[in-house]
Formats: sequence, structure tokens, C-alpha cells
Amino acid sequence: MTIDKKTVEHLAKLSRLRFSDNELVSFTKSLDDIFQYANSLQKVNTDGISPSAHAIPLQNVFKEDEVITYKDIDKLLDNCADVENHCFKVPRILTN
Amino acid sequence: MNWEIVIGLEIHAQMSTKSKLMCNCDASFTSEANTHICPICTGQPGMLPVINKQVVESAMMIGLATKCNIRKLNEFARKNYFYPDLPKGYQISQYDKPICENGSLEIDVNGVKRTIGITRIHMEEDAGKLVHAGSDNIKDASYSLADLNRSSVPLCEIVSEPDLRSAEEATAYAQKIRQIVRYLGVCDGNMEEGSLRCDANISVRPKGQTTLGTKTEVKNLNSFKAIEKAINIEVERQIDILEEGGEIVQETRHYNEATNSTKSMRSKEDAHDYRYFPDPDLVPLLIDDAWIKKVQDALPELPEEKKNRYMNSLSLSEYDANVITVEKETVAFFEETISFGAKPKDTVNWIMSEVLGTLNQKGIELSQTKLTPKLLAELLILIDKNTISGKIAKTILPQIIETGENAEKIVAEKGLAQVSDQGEIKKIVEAVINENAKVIEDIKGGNPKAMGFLVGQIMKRSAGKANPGIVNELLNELLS
Ligand SMILES: [Zn+2]
Repeated sequence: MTIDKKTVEHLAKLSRLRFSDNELVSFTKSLDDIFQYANSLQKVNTDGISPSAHAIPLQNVFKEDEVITYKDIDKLLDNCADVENHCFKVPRILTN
Repeated sequence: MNWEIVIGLEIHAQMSTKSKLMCNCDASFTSEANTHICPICTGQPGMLPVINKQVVESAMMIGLATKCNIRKLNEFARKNYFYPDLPKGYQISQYDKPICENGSLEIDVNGVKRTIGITRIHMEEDAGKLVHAGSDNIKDASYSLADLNRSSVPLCEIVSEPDLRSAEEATAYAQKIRQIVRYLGVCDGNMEEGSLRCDANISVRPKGQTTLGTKTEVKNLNSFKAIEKAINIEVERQIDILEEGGEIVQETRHYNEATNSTKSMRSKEDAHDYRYFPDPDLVPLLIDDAWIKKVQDALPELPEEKKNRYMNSLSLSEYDANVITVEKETVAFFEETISFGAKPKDTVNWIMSEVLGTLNQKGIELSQTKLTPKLLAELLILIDKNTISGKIAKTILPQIIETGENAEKIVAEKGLAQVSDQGEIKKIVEAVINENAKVIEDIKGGNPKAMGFLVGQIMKRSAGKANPGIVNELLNELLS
């Protein structure tokens, strides 16, 4: 499988991102390179190795149940294209 | 044809932790939009979610209370989909390795007991909330506003086996789950506010058939009444289709309480591929036997255990043991009242009928009154000692609820103490007999109602204070 321009266009639409034609070409190439690199994992022989969910031998990392108020909420809202009534404004979800 | 109804319930219980599942934001409800948010629960690039330990323990508690196996090696998975209430583009959930599996729960519908299997319980985060602008209907809205306060609030999803065979059983099961999570103190169980949400998987099949029929998933069941009504209406719809030779479409349907009908929600977009995969941000969660034992040992007494204890050591009937254990607040009040020396059976009767009845009329909760278990116990002990009659006690209860004064004080102030003095009662009995010659004739003629009338007159004249036992004794003596 390869990543083509159409896939990137679809992903951009779902992610609500707008790319120029040049960006589309370059992102398609970069993403495909990454994808092919990751694909090389398929060549590794994993016979007899049990599946794992994590690469490093670390477990049981928890946080305690306490409230810590985040101070820069306005910065989070600034990351949104449009804000109304202190809410993230999003385009129409369903069309008829 | 004879149809068998097959139902499985998925219940989402919001864990009442202080903070969210993956970040330290306040998990409690607030109407001020986007005030409980941070980079993690709004899915900013580079954020790192970390599991709230209390949620893991809450999930273990629910699992242990429903006889589940607790999984030793847990993973969290990403459930991927695009929707504006889901800022990361995936929900952190558990997929093929849920924390609890293979449990069961006993329900009782009209005296028939059945064991309902619990397939799994897993932890996951909630999504945000959307308000659609310009219309109530999402399709006609011109845009929507996302409030992410609820994003990453912890949920436990409790999935039953398709073991439920009627709307009544499904309701009884949901009530039992609510009772358990409330006893455990892990969820407030408030269905109106959405702390407990329920979806029903419903299908029908000809009686005797072992394979399952095609199911639909009915959503938006926000009350026990809605669960019962939605299941009945959906079962009816499915049977109608099948009896006309049609086929059931596997789909998600939305229940509308106002019209009491279900409606198809999504059609072709419903072909979801959530592309589940282990979340690389989260390390494995290992639960060893010592941890399970610690949680098990700390479990509070559950409704079923309380019920059995009340029947065995307090000699309550099964009915009384059932009604008094339904609500956590009521049972705590009961236990405290009997600790002050009130008799268990009387206490159940008084709480269930007089106390809750009076509170219902006033539209308030037990916790909002001045009535304490100690005050109720004092009142019941006065009845028990024959200081006042049950009838007088009923008349002063509203005053205790209102003012928080103790029964003894009210009885003394109002002179309500029961009269057990033979001589004093005899005067009243004789006076009433003299004034009711006709009634006496009726009694001697064998009319039992006439006797009741006479007792009523005597009680009335004594302002309800005459000891009824002595009244009856004297009447029998004087009329024989
Ligand atoms: Zn947060």
C-alpha cells in the first residue's frame, strides 16, 4: 500500500486542515516515505515473540486523584479557528 | 407466533472522582463552558495522558461487587473516529482486554430470581458536549459549539450478556447496577444528569430458537421508565416487521420519550471501523493479587449482603429487607435509627411509610430535614413504651421533621401522653355508653361495626390519648 494524494486530501478534510497544492504534493511524499519506512517492520521475523502494547519495560504509571486547575485556558481557545461564548466553534456537522 | 425477547444492556456509569481520567482537571459538572479544560483533555499536540489511579480502583470495585474476574495485564486502546466533541480524534478506552470480565448479578422480578451475566466492564473517557446553533436538530444547525468540560471525564462501561428476557427484567437489572455503584460510592447514579446512561441491544426470536435474531441498539434511555417503554416499543416494532415477512436492519436507533418511538440514527456512515490499537502513550497496567485483595477488603457491605443480614439477624421479612436497602441514604438512616434502640421492623415501617411519605408530600429528601435517626428512634421508643399511641406519633412526626424537636418534649408540651389510668378511662367509657343507647343495642344484636364506632367515640373524647388496650378491656367488661 502507498499513500496517494487522494488519501492526504481525505485526511486533511477529516482533520479540518487546508493545504495548498504544493503542500499536498510534499505531504503526500513525506507521509508515504514514513509509511514505507514503518512498513519495513513487516520484514522482521516475530515468530515466537508474544505481542506487546508497549516498547519500554515500564508499567503502572498513575496520577493521584487531585484537581489541579490549568491556568492558560485562553491559550487553548486561541488554538481554535473560531470561538463563540467561550466555546470551540465548529462547522456544521451533518447536512441534509 | 410466540416470540422470545432478548436484551443486553450497556450502562455507562460516570465515576465520581475529583479529577478526570487522564488529566488533573476538575471532573465535576459546571455550566460555565470550557472552564475545566487543559492541554490533555483538549488534545493539544505533545500532551501526555496519565491514568487516574482512583478510576482503576473504582472499576475493580464494580467488578468485584459483580463477581467479575479482574484482569492482571491491562491495556488501553485508542478508538478512532472523527467528531467535533472528540478533540484528539480518538477516545481512550479498553478494547480486547477490559479490566473486568465474566461476572454476574442476581435480579428479582415479582419474586422470580434470575442470574444475569456481565460480559465485561471497561474504563474509558467521556467526550465533550455539543450545542447546535440555529436549531435543535443537528441537521438544520448552521454550526455547533463544543464545550470540553466533560472531555476525559472517567466512565465505566458495564456490558451485560443478552440474558434479559423482558423490559421489566432489563429495568430491574439497571436498577440493581445503579444500587451497587451508589453503595460503592463510585458513581452518584443520577440518570437525569447523565451520570448513568443506558443503551439497550434488543432482538426477538421465535420461542425455542437458539440463534439470536438481528439486533438493534437503542440509545438515549435516560430513566428507568424510558428503558422499559423503549424496549417495549422496539420489541413491538420488530415483531410487526417480522410477522409481515420483513427483515430487521442492524442499526442504532434513538428513543424519543416525547413520542414514545424509536428512530434510525445513522445509516451508511454507521459502517464504523474504529481502528482500535493499543495507545502508545499509556504504559501497561498490572494488577496483582495483593492489590485486588486490598480493594476487596475495603468493599462496603453491598445491598445483597445487607438484605441477608437483616433477614437473618434482625428477623426482617424479605419484603422489608428489600425495600429498606434500595437506597443507600435510607439504609444508613435505618441502621443508625436501630442503633439508638428502635425495633427494626417498626423502624422499616415508619421510614418507608410515614417518614418518606411526609417527605414526598413536601418534595424534599431525607438529608434535607431536621429529622435525625436519634429523633426517630426516640419517637418509636415512646410508642413502644405505650407513652403515646401510634396514631399520636403520626400526628407529631411532621413537627419533628419541621423543627427537629424531640418527641418527648412535644408530647409533654401538648399533653399527648397516652392515658393508661383505668379510673380515668372508665369515666369516659361509661359516659359514651350512656349517650349511645341505640349503639349498645346494635352491639348486643351482634353488629361488629357498632363496636368500632363506640371505640372511635371513646378515642375521640380522650383526644386519642386513651390506651386502646384498656379501652377494649373496659368495654368488654361493662357490656357483658
Ligand atoms: Zn484536562
